[in-house]
Parts: sequence; structure tokens; C-alpha cells
Amino acid sequence: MEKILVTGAAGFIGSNLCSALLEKGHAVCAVDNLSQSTTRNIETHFATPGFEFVQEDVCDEAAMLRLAKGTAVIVHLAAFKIPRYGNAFDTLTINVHGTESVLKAAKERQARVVFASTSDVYGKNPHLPFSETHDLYLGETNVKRWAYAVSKIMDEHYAFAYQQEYGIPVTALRFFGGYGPGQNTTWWGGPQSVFIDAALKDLPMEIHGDGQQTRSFTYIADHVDGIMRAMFSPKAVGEIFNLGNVHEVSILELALLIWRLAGKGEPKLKLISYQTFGKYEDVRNRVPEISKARNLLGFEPKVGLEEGLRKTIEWQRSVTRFSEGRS
Amino acid sequence: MRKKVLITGVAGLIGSHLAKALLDRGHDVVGVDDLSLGVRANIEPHFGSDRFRFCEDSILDPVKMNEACEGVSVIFHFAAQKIPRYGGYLKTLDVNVRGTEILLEGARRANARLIFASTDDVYGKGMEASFTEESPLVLGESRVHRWGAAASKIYGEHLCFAYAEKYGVPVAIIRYSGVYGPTHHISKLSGAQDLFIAAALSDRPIPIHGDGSQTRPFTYISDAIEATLRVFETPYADGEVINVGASAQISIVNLAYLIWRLAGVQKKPQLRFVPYTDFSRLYEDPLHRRVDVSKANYLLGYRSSVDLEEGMRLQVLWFRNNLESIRALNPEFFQEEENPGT
Repeated sequence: MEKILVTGAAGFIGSNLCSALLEKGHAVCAVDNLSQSTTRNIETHFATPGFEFVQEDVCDEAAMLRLAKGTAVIVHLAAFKIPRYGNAFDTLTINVHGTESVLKAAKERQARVVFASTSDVYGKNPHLPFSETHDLYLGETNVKRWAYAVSKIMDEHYAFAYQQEYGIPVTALRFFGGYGPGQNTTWWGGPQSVFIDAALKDLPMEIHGDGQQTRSFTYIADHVDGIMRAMFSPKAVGEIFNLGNVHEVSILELALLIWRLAGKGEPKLKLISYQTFGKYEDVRNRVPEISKARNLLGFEPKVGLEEGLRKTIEWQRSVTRFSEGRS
Repeated sequence: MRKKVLITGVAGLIGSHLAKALLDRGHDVVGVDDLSLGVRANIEPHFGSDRFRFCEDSILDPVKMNEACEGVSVIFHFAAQKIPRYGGYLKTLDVNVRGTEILLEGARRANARLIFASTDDVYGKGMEASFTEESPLVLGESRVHRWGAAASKIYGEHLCFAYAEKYGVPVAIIRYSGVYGPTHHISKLSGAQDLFIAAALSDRPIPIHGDGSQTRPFTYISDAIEATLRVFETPYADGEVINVGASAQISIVNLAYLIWRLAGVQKKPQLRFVPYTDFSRLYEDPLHRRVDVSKANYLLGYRSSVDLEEGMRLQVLWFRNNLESIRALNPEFFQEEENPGT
């Protein structure tokens, strides 16, 4: 089977993808600089034949070139997220340098590149649901939350420019709200992570804004399935795909659902004003249109929100207990 | 107060005129240009000044740029690649993204302020009647190459703010709209007026993209320079994004008529309509673009003083007076069957 290079492999999507690739019999070179994660999610594979973990920075071009040797596909998932608490510099530079570094390695090694973009690129576009041909609406430049979307739009253009210039096949995947076992349990992992964490600890769930903003949440197995389809389909070359569950839910509904599934009593909520983030703008509604992935890749999300959340809560309960037991 | 400044893209239209204005005011100017788009003729008049130093270097060379930044207190980062309508997609991204990063790094090391040239192209497909600095920036599909240029400029703006946030580099961002004026270099990328004048003066039909009903703002260079100097001289412009342009706009077909008349051609205007699909299937052109410049008016006290007709009259005059050298430097614009650009 083919050798696959996965960047951001210790992260949530990366680690789950590694498991699925190993199950299919692929050799996996898993790269992560562990800046945002530990090896917790991939330790189980350390003894698996065909699995190799390398702690390197995706921005290190020499390292990426070396690791990409003999690779059929590079799945580039390493990225820095929305600068909600930190500064925008890392988001901008790490995302663009990392992608360039991957593209340069792919060019030398004749590898295919499938990389993570984000639903955030649609930004404030009021026309729902978002299809891949929709316009990308960014807010004011001095609102730093847009740095993430801008960095990913740049990544998409770089990828298509490399494809045009050097003929390397690229595919961009715009993920919509992934969750599931292995997710980051802080804000970095998304609202469901912090809600579950709060519910398990019987603390108030912190809702940003009025909670009426809507999102769609995609169970990890469905995301991994979508990536695997895109990685090996000739139809995916040169394309952008939305990968997400089309079920729309408000943040407030999500919080209440999680509280109920966690088996708690009266929900505890705490509304946090956006003003605490400085100049911030949230995206009001975000739902994918996925007929392109359906038609070209046969992608169909299978795990509903309630079922997925049950599994996620169970997992998060177990790791929380474990870490508490350890501390 | 006499300052030492750096201008990248100094041999381009805005860069060369800005260099002149700053030298006239007694400042020292280091000019960087790799002459890939700009031309030496635009800055030749400054070579006589001992306060002007020219570096024929690429902004993608970090060592050369760090040298060029040494001792300067203000950097005007104007070197850029425009919309990749004719290829060079990856180069556009590299120059605009990597180049801006290198100059910001230079500003950080030199403790200099950086004034970044952005463009109204960042408003993209926005549907507002008039774009203010708070308007959303609307890009089309990432698979359409022309949006790569706008994306790279938005990225540059964000990177400016990120350097301000992380390292305290003072930055100001100017979004220029349709600046035109005397230059020895005609580019397919610098607006329709020069192509139209070249056609009218050589008695050829004026090439129009699409049906010519798309409207664009046009800003005469002296107005753009006046606004730029005000940003330069106004300390509280830091941290601001400012639209600089004319509030006037005109449809491309009316611009052709205007130029035909100003060129004094004595027969009925000849227009040649070119479908967009002729040169790239991956091209999308916004239909209208009107830019609100009231922030520049109120914050900087800037008023444009050269109206469209006067500016175009000056431009036609410039072409007429320099026709031989312009023809020699840009022969492709004076031949028949040239694939045009607007």
C-alpha cells in the first residue's frame, strides 16, 4: 500500500485519520511539532508496523522534503486557528509557510496534496447554505479574527498556483465544525469541547454572544471518510470540497443538548459578550451545501449530532477522569 | 524634518512620483525596484540628486532588503504584482505575500514605520453602492486566479496589523483606486487609459473588454501623491486603513469616448469589443466599483483637485509629448491585433 504523509498528525483530525489509514493497510508518516497537542492520540500506533511519528515543524522545508520521500499523498492538516486569545501573527505566518513548505516538498517528490481549509472562509456571506462556488465575505482587516480565514484563502490560492505552475495535484477540503473522540478539550477544539468540559464539571457553559448563531457539526468519522475519499479519487484533483454535516443547530441548542446528554439537571449558562475579545466579529450562520462532495466523492455524513455527542461525551468523561486521576 | 525613507517599487507609477515629491521636500530617498514592471526612465531624473539612492533589487531578497532598510524611518512598500490575468499566478502570490513579509521584517529591525500600498481590488465583488473602509471584502471562488491578487493584498494588510500587534511596528494602509498619470511604462495591468490613448494616437480602434458598461474610478497621480504625503506627515494615520482615490467614476466605454475626443482624432470613435473569454476562462471582473473617500477627506484633510477630464487631458498631453520614447519602450501597444487589457 501507499505511503501517506500526514501533517498535524497528533491533532484531532490527524490522529483519527492515521488510525483509519493504518486500518486500510497504508504506511503512515505522522508529522507534528506538538505545539498544540501531545502524542496522547497517536501513542496507540507507536507499535503498529508501517507507522512512524516524527516531531518536526511543518514550516521546516528541509524536514518536509526529507519526510515526503516516497510519499504518494500528503494530507496537510497542521494549522494555527482563529486568533481569539493570542495574536494574529502566528495564524498568518504558520498557515502560509506551512502550506508552502508542504507544496514545495510535494513538487519535488511528485506527491499529491490534500489539505485542510475551513468553512470560516465563507465568513459573513449571508447566502446559506454555502456551496463551493459561493463568495468569501471577509470583515474589516483590523479585526484579527479574519486572519484565520485570510490565511486559509491564501493557502488555497497557493495550492492552485502550485498546481498550475508545477502540475502537482491538489485538493482543498473546507471542514465544517469537526468533533468527536480525540478532540482538543479546550476552546481550541470548538464550542462542543468547552460545553462538554463544563457540563462534566458541573460548571456554567460559556456562550459567546447571544447563542443564536448557528453552526453545523460533523462527527470525526464522517470527516475522516471524506478525507479518504478525496485522497484517492481522481475527480478530486484541482477541486475544493465542503466536508460537513448539513444539520444546522444554534450554539444555545447545542449547549442545552450537551447538558442533557451529560445527564445533568438544570442547565447552567453564562453569556459572554464579544466585547471581551476586543474588536471581534462572529459569523452568524454557517451551514454547508455538500452536493459536490456527494456527487463527485460519494460522501455522505452518517453520524447524527445526538449520537455523535453521546460518544464524544463518553470519551471526554474518560479522559477527564484519567487526567484528574493522574494529577 | 528631514527624513530618510525607503520606497519599494520606486520605478513604478506611484513610486516614481512619490520619490520626486519627497526629494522636492528635502527628504533622502532609497528606492528599490527590480525593474520587472517599473522602468528606469521613470526615475532617471532623480539620479542627479545626491539624496537619491537606487537599488536594483528584488523585494524577495531578504538580505538586500535588510540592507536597504538600514537607517530609514519610513518604508513605503509599493512593490507588488497585480491581477494575474496573463499568467504569473504563483509569482503574484510570492511577491505580494513574501515580499510584504520581508519588508515588514525590515521595518521591525530598522524601527521604521511602514506605509503599505493596498488596492480597492480588495473590495472584490462587494455589492455596496460605495465602498468604505469598513465594507466587507468579498472574494470570488479561490479557483479563479484573479482573486489570488486580492487575497494576497488582504493577507498583506493583515500581516501589517499583525506586525503592529506583535512587534509594535507602526503601519498605515492606503487602498489606492485607479491611479493613473505620466509614466514611461504602459502595462496591461495599470488601467485602461494608457491603452486607449496609445490606440487613439496611433489611429487604431480602442479595445473594450466586455460591453464596456463596467465603471471604474480614476485618480490622477498628483492627487494620489498628495494623499500619500498626508499619510506620511500625519502621525495618527498609524493603524488606519484609508481609501485614496477620486469619487468620480466613469464607464469604460465613456472613457474611450473621452480619450478619443481629447486625442483630437477627427473621425467617429472606433471601438473594438473583446469578449472576456478571449484571454482567460478563469477571469471575473466586477461590474462597478465606487470608493468612498470621506475618511481621507475628514481624517487627513485630503481633497482631490484634478477632475477626470483635466487628468485625462494631461495624460493625453504626456503621451503626445513623449510619444517616441513611449513607443520605443512599449512597442507591443502600438501594433495591430494586440490582445488588449482594460
